[in-house]
Amino acid sequence: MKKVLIIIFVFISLIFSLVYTTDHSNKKIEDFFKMQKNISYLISTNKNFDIFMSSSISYNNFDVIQKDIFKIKDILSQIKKSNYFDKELIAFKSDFLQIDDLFKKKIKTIEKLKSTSAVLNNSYRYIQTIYEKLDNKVFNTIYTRIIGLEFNSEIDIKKLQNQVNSFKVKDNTEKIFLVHAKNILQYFEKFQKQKQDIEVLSLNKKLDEFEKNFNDYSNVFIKDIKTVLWSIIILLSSSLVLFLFYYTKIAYQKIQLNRFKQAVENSDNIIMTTDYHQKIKYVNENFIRHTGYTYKDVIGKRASILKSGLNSKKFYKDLNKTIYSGKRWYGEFVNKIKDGKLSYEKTSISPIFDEKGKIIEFLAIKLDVTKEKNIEKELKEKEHLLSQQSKMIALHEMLDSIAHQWRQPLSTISTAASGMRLNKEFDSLDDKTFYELIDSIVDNTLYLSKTIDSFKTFFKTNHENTLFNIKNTVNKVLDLIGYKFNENKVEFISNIKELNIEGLEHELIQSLVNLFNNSQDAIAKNLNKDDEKFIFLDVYDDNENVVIKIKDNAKGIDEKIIDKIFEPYFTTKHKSQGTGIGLYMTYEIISKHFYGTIEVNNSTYMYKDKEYTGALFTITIPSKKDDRNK
Amino acid sequence: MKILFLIMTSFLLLNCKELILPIKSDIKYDLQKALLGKKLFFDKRLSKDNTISCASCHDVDNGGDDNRDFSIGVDNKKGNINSPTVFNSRYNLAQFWDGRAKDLKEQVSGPIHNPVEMGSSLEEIIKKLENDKYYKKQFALVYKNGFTKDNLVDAISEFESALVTPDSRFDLYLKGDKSALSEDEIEGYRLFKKNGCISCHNGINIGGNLFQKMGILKEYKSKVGNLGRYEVTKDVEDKSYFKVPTLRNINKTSPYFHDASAKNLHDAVSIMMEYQLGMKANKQEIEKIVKFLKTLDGKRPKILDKK
Repeated sequence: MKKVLIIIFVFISLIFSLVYTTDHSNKKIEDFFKMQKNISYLISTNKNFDIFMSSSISYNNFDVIQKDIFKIKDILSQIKKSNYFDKELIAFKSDFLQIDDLFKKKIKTIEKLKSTSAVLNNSYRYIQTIYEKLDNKVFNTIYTRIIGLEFNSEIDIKKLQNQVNSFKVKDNTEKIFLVHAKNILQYFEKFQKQKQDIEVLSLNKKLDEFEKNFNDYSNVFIKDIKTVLWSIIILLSSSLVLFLFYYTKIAYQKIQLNRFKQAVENSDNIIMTTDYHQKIKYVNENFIRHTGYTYKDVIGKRASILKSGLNSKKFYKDLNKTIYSGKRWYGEFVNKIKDGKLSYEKTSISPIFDEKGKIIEFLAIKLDVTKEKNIEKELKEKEHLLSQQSKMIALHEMLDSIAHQWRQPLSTISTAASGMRLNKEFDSLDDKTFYELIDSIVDNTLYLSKTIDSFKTFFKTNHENTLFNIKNTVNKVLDLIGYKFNENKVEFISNIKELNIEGLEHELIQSLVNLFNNSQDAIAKNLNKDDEKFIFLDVYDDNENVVIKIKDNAKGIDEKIIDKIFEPYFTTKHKSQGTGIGLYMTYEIISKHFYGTIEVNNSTYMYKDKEYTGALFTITIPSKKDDRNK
Repeated sequence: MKILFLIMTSFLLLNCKELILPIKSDIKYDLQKALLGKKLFFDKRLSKDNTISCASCHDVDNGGDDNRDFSIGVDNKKGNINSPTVFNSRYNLAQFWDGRAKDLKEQVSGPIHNPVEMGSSLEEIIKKLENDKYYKKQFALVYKNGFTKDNLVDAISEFESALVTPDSRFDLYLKGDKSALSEDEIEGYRLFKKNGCISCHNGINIGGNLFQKMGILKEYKSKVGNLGRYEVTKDVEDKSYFKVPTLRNINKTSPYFHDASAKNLHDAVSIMMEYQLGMKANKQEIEKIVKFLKTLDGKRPKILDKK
């Protein structure tokens, strides 16, 4: 911008100098032509003088020549007054002074010439009259010679004078004739001398030379003026070119800027700039669309009008600290739009600096993530619901298990108690029987109490990670559902390495319970009563991972659905039996809480020289906590 | 040769009409300045002892001169040269008998400083008149820089240049009114030309446009020792050369010549013929020439009646 100003300044000053130079040159040229006119006037008037000199002796109106004399004097004094040859053309000064001097001399001589010619004119005229009256013919020759003087330059005046002087006059007429003849000769001599004096001055030549030199000078100074003018014109045009160059550059920048502006205007992001004090300076169209505010509502207002109050004070403090220190800030606003709805905005705020590095503006680019937030929230709610459902199922299962496991001891206790009563009534209660029955009641009660402990562990909704032994965990699982294996005549074959895992034990228990239940359900469904039924559990460590493999011999999972079994609400069981949550919850627990993986495939294997096929679930859990955090 | 000469002279004689031109009746001058100059012209305070004004020697009611042989200046001092007329002086090639002033402006300060004329100086006049209300006011009105020496001189010369006497009977004759002159007068004019008076007295002012020797064909011995042009140029050849005076209003400006030696026109014409033309003219011719000269009285300058 500064450059453009400088160019404009240079441009204007060049124009001024051009105008000044032109004006100055004009004056110079004007002066020159004025002087030239004066000089040519001097020359032409000088020619008038020469014409006057060379004209024959006769009557004259001396006013005519006097006018020329006045004019010459006037011009010469004008030139002197103008100081033209003192300032402009000092080189010509001496020549001019010489001409001035010559003119003075010439004029002086012309003044004399006037008198002389007047005298000659009169004597010439009068001598003719006198001659007519003369009788003596001796005067003939002298008369003709005198008359012819003017036209015959070869006549010797001195000789004539001698002749005239030698005449002896007889009468008055002759005397007058001779007086006039003498007068003519005397004045004619004077006349010629005066003419000669003027010729000697050779003013003509001098003037012509002067005029020539003066005109030559004009070429020099016109050339000078031309040079100056041309250089100014060249400078002017080059600065014009420079100006145009910068102008196009600026125009190009403007186009670029406009392009960016368009991009910002039409961006899908919400873009807003504020001044240093966070007063809104600009918002793009998407802002208007998104917030429902009009430009008038927000321009000039503080950015805090968008606050919902759901971000903490610390949040804003951190934000301000970051941006005012000149750094970029990233974060997520919970703002409020015009109709009061919340808006989640993923935002980056960048400070914008001037040339000196001072913050002048802030640029906020926001992405509206409200939709995503809502989906996430919904998902979370759904997950919570699922987990509740799975808990309920688990509870149901436990109750089932309790009912099952307690039925036996309770009936034993009940039988023992009623046996004691009967024996007492029949008085057949001997001490041996009494103690046998009491022992049986106590044993069974203890067993009940022990199973309650197991259940308690299962329902302990501890949310803190603990380090637990996988073998104990498996035992706990067996405590819970081991009875089912017996009922269904499932042979449980386990090979468990003693390993420790950190995490929520009850969740792993739940997962294992789910998997064992599924296996049992598959066995019940796919195998006959008389078939041998197996569930294998292998736990070992492999490359810092704990690997848990659960395998059955229930012929495997239909390949068509094997990819979908971890999806929520997917079930192969009858509605009354399955909810479709178990495997989904297991997947969630392993992947999200233990940072592990769970895979499933159908496996065909040999056991005791017989071939079996069944589903194989492989759980891989990183044994170190660090690995889980990756 | 002779024939050629005669043809030429007769041809030139045909053009004689142009040798004298009438005064234009309307001449250009600055009226305001001229009126101011007129006031000064009549102001005796321009002289040392407040006794003499310009008009004292240039009586504008009487031919523009004082009709004395020699003018009387301050302290009754007598000059040594005859006052020339102030009328039509703008047409002269120079001012004074010896032409020492190239124009009227230069002329003005001459008599002012001359001890036998006004015996004053421009400085003195300015000092004397600068408190005069009329001059103060008028000069401030007419001139940018008010009452100064230059402006004083300028005003007087402007007035003098307005002093022209147009429409003499001869001028009317020249303009085409053939009845303006009587036969004798016309004959006088013819003689004026024929005898060669016109050789020196020509132009608009019938004289005043050249210097001529007093006593061409006969040595002129003057009572006064004035050598004319020589006094200015110190050129021996200029001895006894004087400015040829105008013949306009000649009837009113006696005595004649620089030394006032001719008391009337008859004398003047006959002296001129004898000394300048080298001819003895008869009385009749002189009579007629004098009659012609009397037709040169022009009208009173208009500026004198303007206020």
